[in-house]
Amino acid sequence: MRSFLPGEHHEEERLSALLDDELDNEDALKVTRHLAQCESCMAELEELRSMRSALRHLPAVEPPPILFDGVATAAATYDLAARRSRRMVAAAVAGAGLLAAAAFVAGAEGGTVSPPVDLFVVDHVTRVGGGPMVTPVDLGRRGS
Amino acid sequence: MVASVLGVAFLALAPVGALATPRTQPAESSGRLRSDSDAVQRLQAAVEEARNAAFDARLLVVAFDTDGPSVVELEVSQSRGDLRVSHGEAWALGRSRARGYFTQAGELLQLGSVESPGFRPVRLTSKYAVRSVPSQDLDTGPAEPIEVIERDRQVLRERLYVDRGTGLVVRRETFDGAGEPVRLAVFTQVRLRDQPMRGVAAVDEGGTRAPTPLTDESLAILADVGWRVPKELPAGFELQGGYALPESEGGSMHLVYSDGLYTLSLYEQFGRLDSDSLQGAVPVSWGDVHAFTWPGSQPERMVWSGDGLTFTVVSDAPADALVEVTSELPHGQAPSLPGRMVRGLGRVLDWAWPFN
Repeated sequence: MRSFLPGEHHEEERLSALLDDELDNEDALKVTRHLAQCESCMAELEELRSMRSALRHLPAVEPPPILFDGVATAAATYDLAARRSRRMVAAAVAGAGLLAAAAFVAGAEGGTVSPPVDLFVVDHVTRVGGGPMVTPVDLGRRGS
Repeated sequence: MVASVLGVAFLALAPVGALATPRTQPAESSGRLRSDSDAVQRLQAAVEEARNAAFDARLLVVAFDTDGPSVVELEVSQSRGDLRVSHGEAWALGRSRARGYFTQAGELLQLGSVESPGFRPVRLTSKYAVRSVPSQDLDTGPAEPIEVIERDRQVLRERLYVDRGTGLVVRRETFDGAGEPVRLAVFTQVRLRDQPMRGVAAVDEGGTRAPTPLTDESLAILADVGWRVPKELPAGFELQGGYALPESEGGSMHLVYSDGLYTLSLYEQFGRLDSDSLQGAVPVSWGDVHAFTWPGSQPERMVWSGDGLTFTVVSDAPADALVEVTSELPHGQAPSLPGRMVRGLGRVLDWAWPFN
């Protein structure tokens, strides 16, 4: 078991983390001190560095067209379905919102109104009033 | 002028009190009251005479309410379908060439074509019993009284006096459902003319207000989208027709009802009532109804809100009939948000329904 204590060896992941600059300042300082005193750990560190360098210089490999098409089609299908799904959800939400708004507006009572009672009275007496005697009418006496 | 009017009012009021108390009891106290055919014919003849005769008259109107009687004197001219009713120089209204008009402060307002329901004896006698009573001498001469009795309640509603000389109804006493007098209208002076009355000089030049007559189909559509269009109202009122009023009046609708004796106008507007705009109105409540009225006003009028609509009723019927009508139509507080949404959803679905 390796540890950060002086004289002890480090785990490979700690050395890898050092190469990736993922250790904080305090831990990096401890590992570096150990490496200065431990040849085996230094050798292991150099081996890790060499392997990474070799991997980076490998030539790029093109995927077979069939695989690419399949992945692309699958990705496109997934993307289209996702987009459709998102659109449907968005459309449903928008539609519900629109319907709610329309219902809210259509269900309105139209605010307040001030009936033109005087005009209604004149209208009634003149246009539709009738009977055995002229309809009695009293305008402007009772707040009409 | 005031003294003479009050003097005439005193003379006119005396017989009302004498005749109205005690409450008139019809002769047939049990079973269905029957109309006197002679009385119906005499009343119909009087209505025809008033329509065709040319005369000028002074009409005294006395309205009774809890604050006591209120009196107004009007000048009336009538001939061959034309009518003019005026109150001194304050205002005048009437019909000329089958078109209604109203003048006030020198301004003329045209009210559109006249669509009077007319006098229909069949409708009258289906609700009321009409009968003759012994003749009486009035200030204007001997007259033949005709009583109109509401069958269901067996209570006197009207006593009409047909002048023996002119054939016109010269006095009209109106009673409420309890048999109490609510209004007196009497011609204190009648002068027949050989010449027809003059029309309104500027009848074609005033501001125009043109209600649009609504067909039965139009009324049905309006009922579907939220307007109230009852074919019948309480107290025996039946729908005669409807009109769409100009936008200047808030896009309101006018429905006309008749029970054969009285005419009732129901005006509807979308929106809650702004009660502050009702000058001189008195709030009245009964049951869960909250309305506004003008006690003693002629014709009677009542305003209230319900189910998103504001209703105005105007009628020459006594106030108790308006109370019945108001109770039957929607009334109450504004609906809650869910109620508004449900109502709006119903309207939207109704508009969107492809088979409508």
